[in-house]
Amino acid sequence: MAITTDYLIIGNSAAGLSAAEAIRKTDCEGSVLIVSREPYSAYGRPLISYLLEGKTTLDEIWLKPEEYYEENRLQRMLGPDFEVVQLLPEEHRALLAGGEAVEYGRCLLAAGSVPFVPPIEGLAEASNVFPFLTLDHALAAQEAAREAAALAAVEGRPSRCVVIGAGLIGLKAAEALCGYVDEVVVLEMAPRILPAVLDQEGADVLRQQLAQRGITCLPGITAQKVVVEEGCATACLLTTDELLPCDFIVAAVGVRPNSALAVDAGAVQGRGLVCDSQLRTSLPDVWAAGDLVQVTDAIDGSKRPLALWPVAMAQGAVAGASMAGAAEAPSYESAFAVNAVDFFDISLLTAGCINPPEDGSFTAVTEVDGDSYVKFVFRDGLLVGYILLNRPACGGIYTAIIENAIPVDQLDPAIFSAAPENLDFPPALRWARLHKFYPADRDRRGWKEGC
Amino acid sequence: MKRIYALEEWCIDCKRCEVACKVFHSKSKDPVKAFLYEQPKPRNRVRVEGNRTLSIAINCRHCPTAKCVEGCISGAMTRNPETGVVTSNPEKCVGCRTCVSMCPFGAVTIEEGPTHPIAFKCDLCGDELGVPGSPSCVAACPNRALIYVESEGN
Ligand SMILES: Cc1cc2nc3c(=O)[nH]c(=O)nc-3n(C[C@H](O)[C@H](O)[C@H](O)COP(=O)(O)OP(=O)(O)OC[C@H]3O[C@@H](n4cnc5c(N)ncnc54)[C@H](O)[C@@H]3O)c2cc1C
Ligand code: SF4
Ligand code: SF4
Repeated sequence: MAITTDYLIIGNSAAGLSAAEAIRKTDCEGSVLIVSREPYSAYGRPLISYLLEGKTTLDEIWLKPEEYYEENRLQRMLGPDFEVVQLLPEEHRALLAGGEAVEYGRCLLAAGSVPFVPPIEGLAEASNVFPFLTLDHALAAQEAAREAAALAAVEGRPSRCVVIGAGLIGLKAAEALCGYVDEVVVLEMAPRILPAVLDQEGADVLRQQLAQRGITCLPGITAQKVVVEEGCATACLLTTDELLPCDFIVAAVGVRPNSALAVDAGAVQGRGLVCDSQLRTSLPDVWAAGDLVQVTDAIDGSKRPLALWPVAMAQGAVAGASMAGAAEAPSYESAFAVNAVDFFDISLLTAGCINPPEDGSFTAVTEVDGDSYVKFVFRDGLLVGYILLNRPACGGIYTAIIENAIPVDQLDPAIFSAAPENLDFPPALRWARLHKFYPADRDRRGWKEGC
Repeated sequence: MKRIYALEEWCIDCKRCEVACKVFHSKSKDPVKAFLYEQPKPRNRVRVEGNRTLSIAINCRHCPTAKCVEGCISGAMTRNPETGVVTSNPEKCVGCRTCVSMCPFGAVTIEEGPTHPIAFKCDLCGDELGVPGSPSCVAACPNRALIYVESEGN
């Protein structure tokens, strides 16, 4: 007998849970089933590095308290047996790895990302190479790091981990592992670290700060080959022809949308799943949300997935409302990237367009001040991007200026030279921003009529 | 829900709201001890912008669709669906600043916590997370530049 459900949600993370919550706002009755191949309750995926650093624990990492699922009548099937291996949209069926079938009314694909494995000789065959995408990956890397440190201590040499890829995930992994092994070396093929969210100048500043804290980043250098002995990686042969011995490797060169289920079923795919403004895929009764969706960039119009937690949450809310047929279903038109990361005591916020094309339509201002590096990018009188390295205060005000396309000439010019303030907005806009839902029976002095 | 509104017409930049907030959120509830001795330092969550000619006390707006909640990577920042109050759970927060990058008003700060830096924001002076109390800043304002009133939205 097949399992039947009104709503099937494939993926138990940001997008899936956010959609389940949105479905419940409209439809309290329909049955909701969440399946995931990971055997855990939903956790903060970005938290896996914080877990290794001791900033969260295996008690606190879970997104929702267990009662939440019961209170909202969300049924869950978690673990390898519940991996969806085939989607049959015409029949409204999904086949699970354990052999069972699920018959659903409507389906949401919220299966996130899968690691991209770079074609480096030796990498795929070594047993001590870890991706860094799941709780299990992080725990395995932690175990490898502990063993490496113990072995190196016995052998009287420094323990070393090589991270391939200096993107966000690679650098977060490096930060986390730094507390376990003596040396962490990060290789990056691109000429700078964090190539997607920083410019050259900002990357240089950050790289020096990371070096002071024990992480060596080598931009412009990667591994041409991994030396494997008895099934284990023992060194990386770098593109400079140097040999870099290592105890283990974290491979973090990037992620790909985990959209194969839909694509195999015939869904239209660009750089991610192509969806309409309700986040419906081209398949009947199949919606998508999160890392596997192709998003239109609000700033340059390009189309690609935006693999970010807040984006997955926002998309889940839209898809869920649409699946449940909510009366005022919101629509999802475009988005821009907002990244917040911290490394040790270093903070980095970036948003929107950071490396504008040099076609004359953009202007940028940058400022280095001690440890901080700040950049603002403008186009047509609007703020379209920023970098705030070690100057995070009130950064969200800039994000709002980008999102709401507030003309820069309406703002106090001082807004860009120090932490932004609400007073930098013109009076009428300031009132509107800060007084949403202001009681109708009071005037702007706070007085009721006649008082 | 009841919300705090700031009225710049009356604000005189005296920062008593900041003091009251800090004291309420201290262990000792004593201004001298709170300001001089407590570790980690108690933090004010209301912040006065400006100077004596123009100033305004900025507080969390307890947004119905709160960007900080949408962005929070740990589940620490939540909005109580019954009360509408948005609070951050210090036990769960990892201090990543996603909420800082998302809040349109600069209403969240990351400051030293018991073990690592974490998010601080207005909790409407409730005794427990998500439950409003009686805001200390409003009570402390000598000029009625902060009012705590029933708003037109949830
Ligand atoms: C180490 C790390 C740090 C990060 N840091 C940040 C950060 O600081 N800020 C930020 O905004 N973003 C960050 N991200 C990105 C963020 O985690 C993702 O954008 C977000 O998790 C996407 O959510 P999602 O729901 O789309 O998918 P995911 O979180 O990837 O979840 C996918 C779910 O689908 C399940 N699944 C997959 N395939 C199947 C299948 N065939 N059958 C059943 N279940 C399946 C998985 O088990 C999982 O439950 C980070 C990511 C990583 C890995
Ligand atoms: S912290 Fe900011 S985004 Fe969050 S509820 Fe308050 S005002 Fe809104
Ligand atoms: S700093 Fe804390 S509350 Fe803010 S987004 Fe990060 S984990 Fe959530």
